[in-house]
Amino acid sequence: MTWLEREIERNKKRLAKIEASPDQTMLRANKLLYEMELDLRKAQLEAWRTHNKPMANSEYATALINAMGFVGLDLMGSADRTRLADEYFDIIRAKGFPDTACDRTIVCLAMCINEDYPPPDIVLAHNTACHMELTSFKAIGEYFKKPVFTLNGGLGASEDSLRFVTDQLEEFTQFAEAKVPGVRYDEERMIEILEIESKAQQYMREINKLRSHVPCLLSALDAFRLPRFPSYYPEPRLALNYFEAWRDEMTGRAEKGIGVLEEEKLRLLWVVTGPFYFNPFIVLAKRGVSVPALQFGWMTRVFGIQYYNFLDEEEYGRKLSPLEEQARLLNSNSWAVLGDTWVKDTLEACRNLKVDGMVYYVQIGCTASAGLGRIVAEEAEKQLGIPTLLMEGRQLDAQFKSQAECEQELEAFVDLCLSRKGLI
Amino acid sequence: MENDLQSLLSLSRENKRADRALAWKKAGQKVVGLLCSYIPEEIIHAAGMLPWRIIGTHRPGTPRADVYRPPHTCLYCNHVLESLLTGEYDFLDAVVATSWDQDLIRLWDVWKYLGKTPALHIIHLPLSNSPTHKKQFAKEVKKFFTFIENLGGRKITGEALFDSINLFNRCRGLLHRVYDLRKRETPPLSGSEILALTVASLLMPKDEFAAGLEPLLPYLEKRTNPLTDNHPRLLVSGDRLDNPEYLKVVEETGCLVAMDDLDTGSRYFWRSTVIDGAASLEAMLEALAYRYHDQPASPGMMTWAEQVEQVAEWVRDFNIQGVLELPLMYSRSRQMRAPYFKDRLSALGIPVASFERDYHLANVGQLKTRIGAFVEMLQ
Repeated sequence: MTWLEREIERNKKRLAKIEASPDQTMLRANKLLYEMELDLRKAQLEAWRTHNKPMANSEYATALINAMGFVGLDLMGSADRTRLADEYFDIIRAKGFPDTACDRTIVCLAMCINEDYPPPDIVLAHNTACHMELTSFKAIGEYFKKPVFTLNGGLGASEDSLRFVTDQLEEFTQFAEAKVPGVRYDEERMIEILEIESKAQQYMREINKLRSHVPCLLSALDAFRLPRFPSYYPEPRLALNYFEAWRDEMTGRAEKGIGVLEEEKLRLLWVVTGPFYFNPFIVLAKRGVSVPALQFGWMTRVFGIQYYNFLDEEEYGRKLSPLEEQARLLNSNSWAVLGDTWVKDTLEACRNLKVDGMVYYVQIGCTASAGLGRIVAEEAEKQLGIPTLLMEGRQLDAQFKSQAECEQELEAFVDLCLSRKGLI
Repeated sequence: MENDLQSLLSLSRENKRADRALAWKKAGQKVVGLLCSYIPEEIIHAAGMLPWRIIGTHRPGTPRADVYRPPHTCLYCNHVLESLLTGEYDFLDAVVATSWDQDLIRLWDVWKYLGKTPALHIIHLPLSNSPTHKKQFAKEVKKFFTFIENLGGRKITGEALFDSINLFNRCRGLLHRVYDLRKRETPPLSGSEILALTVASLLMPKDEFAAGLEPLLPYLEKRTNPLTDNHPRLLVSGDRLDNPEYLKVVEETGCLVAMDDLDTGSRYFWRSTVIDGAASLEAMLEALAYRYHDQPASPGMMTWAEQVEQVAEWVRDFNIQGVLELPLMYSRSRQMRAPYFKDRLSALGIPVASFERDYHLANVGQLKTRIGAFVEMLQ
């Protein structure tokens, strides 16, 4: 059985479990999420097995990939879901790739090599989140001898950079139409998807406002989940039901004053990523620590509170074309640009979420965030008076740091934060 | 003449590499530190400033830098940051980077945060050779031109830029003549000596470099390199390799480094800037943009096929028996390209070996054993 087939079975089990005995601390809306995840995995498997539809890597031009008729392959997101990836690291080493690169960017490559996950029919190699993803996409394309289109982002928001990325997206559509039979850019479909994305983004903003509620309304596991754009899924419109249900549940909890912890002593912002091979939040919850959000590259500018929305006309002073809208999104990741944006956004998230400290996960091989942790920590102390734990680790490799070591670090940091608040 | 040659080569040493820059400063002129080979130096020169390639300390350990950068990040960046934090770049008036890779961008971010250099600039480097990417890079070169004008507080004339382009082309021509001598069965310079020469060219005023190298060429025609073995002939491929001692280690295993694929070597000077006498300032900036974007690429560029073709061409032209790749540890762009590079060259019948190295000279025994085995296989 391939990983993809196992993931389908896992999603079915998750759904059955939610039906049979729901965990009261977790969102009921997760049922809708797992249904969409199941649909996505089934569509990927069918495209892989039957070649009924072409496949392209979907991170992060998902609206365009969807509007071109591709089945999107969430290479990075799928790697995250392997949780513990020892066998994939062995493949990486055997093939001569670096095992010290960011886990998700190399594990997805190994998953394709191991025939656990389909390689894309065409690759959009880009640096709109980080350079490691760019080189990973490129390596996947070259390994499987697939057409690769290189797209450059990372310039932030300006008319010039918007034009530059839009031009490249236009070139990509022509490239893909020429290289992959059956692919065609459908602008009407694109417009329809963007309207859905815009609504989803509005829900996310409302959800993010609710994240600042004291006491915290989300379990750390729900808070930690990376939101995905609706266009990741075969039926984007279904995602609106999920986001709406998520918002409504949080609103209901806020109205009733129900927090997820019996007594909330501390609020911590978790930053970048975390270990996926165990649940680091159990030890925090036991100490009365809530985690209202995960701060990552897309969070503040795309899913965040204070920045522009899809389809607005304010940012550029005009209505954008559908491809420009996609370009705007690709220029919005605060990891891809110069570091001061990430520092500013992270501090802003701390303010909005009223946190007492940060756990900044220094992911080995993360070219985007690892070199900025110290600056974030210094500025958080200087501007907000809050401490930061710079916690080195890996997402999918327990050999680098064990669960016990991670928990020990977290416990010590909680002691420090509680002591600062005069609670111990 | 041998003394003159050794004097020129010695400028690549850690204790001498800032000599010319400090003399330049003493004369009241500005020095601009460069973190990448994709920065059009001619513009800096035309503004009356010294472009000076930033090389990190070759001392082991980077305790000061480790505070800001985790140790598993690009070692060149870590060693440069160590030098910055120990005050070795205090004389710089400005520092310029490109978005060559994200580790370098993050070094630039920390540099800016620390506020130790008066002016900073970063050039966005589009990573493919598509017309759209070339056009965007030309815009970036214009922005850089404005930055340098502002730094100098005066306009750069077309005449000054024309002269600078010609001077830099002349230096490239001289280095090409030296590299042509490498094609001989017994070249006049060893691989480590050549690297010392090209590194010196990164650190010196170009007119001084040309004046130093040109009279040496007749001497080099007759000189014999100090190596005992001139066979097998290797091409060394890497990035940020600015310590000639590394190539000395390679050649001590019983081979000759007869060609390189280094940003501190051939890639730095291989292409010239093509302009004609009547070129406008605008046209010259475009020509510079084209020249820099189109240079033999680093693995950070997504033009992997062209990179392999270039190396294969050098292998043929320089009669190379094997390619030795020396990736810098944690240099992700090169590491991710490594399997492709090896497969494609192997398919062309070119033997390839790849051994990771530190930035400072380290693990010499282990490296010698591994490289020695590769050399023996080629023999």
